[in-house]
Amino acid sequence: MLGESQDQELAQALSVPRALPPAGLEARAVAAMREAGERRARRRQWLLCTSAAVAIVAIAFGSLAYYAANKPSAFRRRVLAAAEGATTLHSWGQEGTRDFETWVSDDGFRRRETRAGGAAVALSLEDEEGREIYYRPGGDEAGPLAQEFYDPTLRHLDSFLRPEDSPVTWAVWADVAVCGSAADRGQHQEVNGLGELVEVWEWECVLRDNCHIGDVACREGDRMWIRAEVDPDTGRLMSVTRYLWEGSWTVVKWAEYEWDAPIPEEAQDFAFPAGTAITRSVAWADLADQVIRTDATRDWQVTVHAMALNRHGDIGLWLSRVKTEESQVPRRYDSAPPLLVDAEGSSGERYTQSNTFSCMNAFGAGYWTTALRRDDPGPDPGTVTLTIWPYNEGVSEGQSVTFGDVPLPPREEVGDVFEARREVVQH
Amino acid sequence: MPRETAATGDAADLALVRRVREGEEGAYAQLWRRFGQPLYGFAVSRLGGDGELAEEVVVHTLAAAVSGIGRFRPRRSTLSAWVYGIARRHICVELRRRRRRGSVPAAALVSLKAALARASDDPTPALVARLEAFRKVDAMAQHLSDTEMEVLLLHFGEGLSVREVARVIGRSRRAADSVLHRAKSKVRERLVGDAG
Repeated sequence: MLGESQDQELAQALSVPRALPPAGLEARAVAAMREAGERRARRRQWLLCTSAAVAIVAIAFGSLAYYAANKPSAFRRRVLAAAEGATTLHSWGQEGTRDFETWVSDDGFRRRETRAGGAAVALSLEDEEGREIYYRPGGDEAGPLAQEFYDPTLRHLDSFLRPEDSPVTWAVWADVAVCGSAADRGQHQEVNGLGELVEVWEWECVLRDNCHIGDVACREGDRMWIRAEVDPDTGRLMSVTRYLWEGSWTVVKWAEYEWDAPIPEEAQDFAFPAGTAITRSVAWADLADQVIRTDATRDWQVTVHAMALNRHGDIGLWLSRVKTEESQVPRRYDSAPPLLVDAEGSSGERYTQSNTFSCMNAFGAGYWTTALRRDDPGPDPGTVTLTIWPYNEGVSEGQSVTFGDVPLPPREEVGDVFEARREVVQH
Repeated sequence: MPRETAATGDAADLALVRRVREGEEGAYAQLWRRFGQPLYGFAVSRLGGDGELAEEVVVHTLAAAVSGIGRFRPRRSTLSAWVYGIARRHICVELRRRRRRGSVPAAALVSLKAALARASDDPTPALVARLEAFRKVDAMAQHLSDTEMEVLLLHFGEGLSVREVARVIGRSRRAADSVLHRAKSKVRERLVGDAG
């Protein structure tokens, strides 16, 4: 068996004994593909506008400040590339004194549960439709909290993810992000406690901002050492341990990872305990599809989705800003500035902006609510002219759009038009 | 023999990808016809003959391929390399689980020996050929590392090019070529040794 003949013989030997699939496997496989295809179709329908990335990062870290520009790029490239095509990522571990367990799937499902001393601390769940729930049973330090909401920023996944990214790769991205001036401590292979040969990547950084890891408060200037184990065959992340320097290196977070494991049925949904009062804030689910006016600056597409007037004639606005394709705003996580709005009624009525809130921001994109308080009481104008500065900082400073003669709706007999769109239901 | 390039095959694969992306009902059956049997064979070989586990791997792999078809990038990979890459990850997870459990599922022990025994009961010419092939594969597997056996299976058994194999196992083409060369050398040494 040499050269060509050896190749032929090898090909014959290795292809002939191929096992034949048992009867019934084709039907099972096709059914599973059909189900996956239907899930994908639903996801795509919603993903025309959707993302889970920001929520993932925000929940994973508790603070967007936990990210910085300096990161171990060779390591990130390796583990992110290896995460492509993964269907699920299951992780568990400890952060501070709390245990956590997370499930993420490539179709946008995410569940994260934290426990302290065996007792539930918090649970969050996002499904592929954009519904998010959060439950905190309450304890000594904080009261109970049960919320259901809709996050419209999940509508812009495609605008800031690489094509090959998915919620799973983003979960990995979040878990390996570092936070300051990182210094590579090298890479080597070793046999871990389970007898597996693993790649070990290590780096150290000085924190750029204050942040929380579980219940541990980390401060700007703290030193952190991060050690990650990677499967040398697949490049997939196996574990990440973070240490904080407190006179000696102390573990503040460790996580282990399991890939492509099916999500248990009991983890796929969550029922609030009986008697729980749930605050539902799902107005954006409908309003995000409405457009009263829209226009773009070089960097931002600005849209007025909805308007409402309270009993005093103050205006409530539902707005969004999303980067344009030509946007020169850098891709980074940051605390994004709120939109500035100037309003003038058709008869010269003046309004003052107050109480601006955003849904989570992704690279500055976001959905916002803002209130425009009427300066002087009086009858409402028929129309209003709105001038909006979507992101009055950096390269976008001074960019604005103006919407003239926007008709005002009639007043509602409520004091807070945003609060009026929340409801509390008893489960 | 393994193909370095297969323009017509690639075009057919791209058409299949488009159909899957558009959710055409018939596309799933076609995806099964394209990959079902070879994936099952590959999984059985890599999982030591554990047919039940191989079934799970095939079902999960094809479902994952449909689910993630939007992330398939023809410029970076062929469809085969991409699908086998997904299968390989599922298989690696299963192999890791086994190692963590510290035991081999009973079903896996059926493996080649049972197949050999079954084949010996009914020695038709076709089965004799299969039997001989089984013996060769079994003999090879004894002397090769997991990666070497995997590369041989992907290249010679599944017909993937070296570039595709490299993509599946997550190494450079040169590294995959090196593993393949080493595996072939070992097989040759072993067979020459046996003959001597």
